[in-house]
Amino acid sequence: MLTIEGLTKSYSQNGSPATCALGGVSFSVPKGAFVSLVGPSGCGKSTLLQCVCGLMRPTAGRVTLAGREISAPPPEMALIFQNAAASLFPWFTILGNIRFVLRRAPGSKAQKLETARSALAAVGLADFAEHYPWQLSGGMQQRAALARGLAYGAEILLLDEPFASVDAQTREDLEDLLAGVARQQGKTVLFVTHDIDEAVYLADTVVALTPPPAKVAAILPIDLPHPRDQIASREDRRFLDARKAIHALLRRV
Amino acid sequence: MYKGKAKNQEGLCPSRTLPTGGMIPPDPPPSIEGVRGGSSPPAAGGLFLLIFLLILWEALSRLALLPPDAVPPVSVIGEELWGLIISGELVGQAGLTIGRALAGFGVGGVGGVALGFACGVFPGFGRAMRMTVEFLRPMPSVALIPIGILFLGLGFGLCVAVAGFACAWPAYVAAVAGAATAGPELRDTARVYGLRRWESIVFVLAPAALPQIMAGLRTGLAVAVAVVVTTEMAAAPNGLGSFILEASMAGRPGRMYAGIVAVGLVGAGLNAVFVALRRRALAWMPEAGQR
Ligand SMILES: Nc1ncnc2c1ncn2[C@@H]1O[C@H](COP(=O)(O)OP(=O)(O)OP(=O)(O)O)[C@@H](O)[C@H]1O
Ligand SMILES: [Mg+2]
Repeated sequence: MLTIEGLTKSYSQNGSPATCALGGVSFSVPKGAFVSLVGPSGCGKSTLLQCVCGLMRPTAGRVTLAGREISAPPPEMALIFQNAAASLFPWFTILGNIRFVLRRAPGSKAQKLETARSALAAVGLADFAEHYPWQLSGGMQQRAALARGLAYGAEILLLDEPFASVDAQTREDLEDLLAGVARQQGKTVLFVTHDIDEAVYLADTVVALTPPPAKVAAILPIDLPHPRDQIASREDRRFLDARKAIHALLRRV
Repeated sequence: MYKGKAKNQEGLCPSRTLPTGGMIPPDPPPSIEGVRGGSSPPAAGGLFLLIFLLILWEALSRLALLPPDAVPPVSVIGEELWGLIISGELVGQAGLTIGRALAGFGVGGVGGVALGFACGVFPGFGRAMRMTVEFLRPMPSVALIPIGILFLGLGFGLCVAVAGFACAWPAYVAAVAGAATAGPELRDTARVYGLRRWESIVFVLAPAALPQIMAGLRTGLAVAVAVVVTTEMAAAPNGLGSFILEASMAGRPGRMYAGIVAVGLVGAGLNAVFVALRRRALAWMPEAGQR
């Protein structure tokens, strides 16, 4: 269980007024759950993920994982950054990027290479293994960063708008890939997106945030059967109801 | 399900989204190697200009419009140069100069990079060092020759020390800047994937700094050659600098110019070797390897 309690973060710059990004956010992510986080741009979603991952100290409040407070990135968590291009190591190929984060993982060299290659194949980049990040398009870089995060094998995945710059078709494929991996391997996922449909389609629970300083506007359980289907699930009454409720909520706040 | 689509996205011209602006090393200083990428018109133009200037020199000297005692015709210098190469005399002197320059570059380059990188990576150390460094850095290296003579006498040790001091600073400045090249996402990525602090420094901050360090070292190499020649003129019994000065004092301008040309060739040659090595070290960069 990942618990976020009264999380507050204000950025203080020398001289200029402090920006209060998070104004006391509390919710929890049960083990094995898929939670989507939606909210208007600039409300503090990326900030929240960085605090959850222990990359940033919150101003107040705390994040606990199975009862223990997180103060540095724990080994069972992987964060896939919103800015994928800037998070890939430019001196490694795409394959090299994945192999590098697997350095200390258990298993033989050959096994790890196999893991890396299959992660690349899963996101459709098998033919680009030996390319450097700058040789890929923005969407391909995002997929490479996703592959690296999945290959790492963390139990908890934090994803920050990972499908923001891919086309609609690829996006659906990647959504299903992520949903499949999460279910098969029982992963806990905290998924940030600004796309309400995507949030509902993937999640067991959607957490909606208010404009900054962000608070939790609503927590909505999504009562849709798994596995989900791009056509059928999106036409389901319950999908449409949830979608409408979140729309109304985000418009009002 | 993905293969076809992935292929389509390749296209003919992969988009070059550079990871960070800071990754691109500053433009190298203009040099005689010409325009990079081997576009022929400017290079050919440069060659014609050079030939024209040499012919002009020859003519002016032969017509005694330039004092022939100070500026002998190009052909005379050429003959002299060839003779000195054949006899091995100039080669020996150049060898001494190259050895001293490389030793000085090795000591100063490694020292400058290590100091600068450490200052960049550990801000506390950087602050502690700053006053001392800013005092030493603007010191003209030639001013150290008298001190050096007291400790090291004349010759190899002195040249290495003075050139090492001089070429450490461009390397230092580049390494300080280079240590700041890795952006916050890259540093955070390293932490997320469980790299320890020293691993981040070695495997993330250092490679990110490499392009800038290479640019600084390239400047340092040119500085090392120039300073070794200067030091040889002032305080060495041999080497190209000493050779040039002796020829001048002995009233043999042909020999003197031959020595000067040799210095130019040594500098250009070392630069070319360094550029080739850098290209290999930075093969992952769009600028260095892929164009
Ligand atoms: N490093 C920083 N220094 C100062 N202020 C920051 C910093 N990072 C974010 N902020 C501020 O915090 C607020 C929240 O930013 P954050 O990036 O978390 O938003 P977000 O919800 O992820 O937005 P988006 O959907 O556009 O990605 C913004 O008002 C932003 O100006
Ligand atoms: Mg964000």
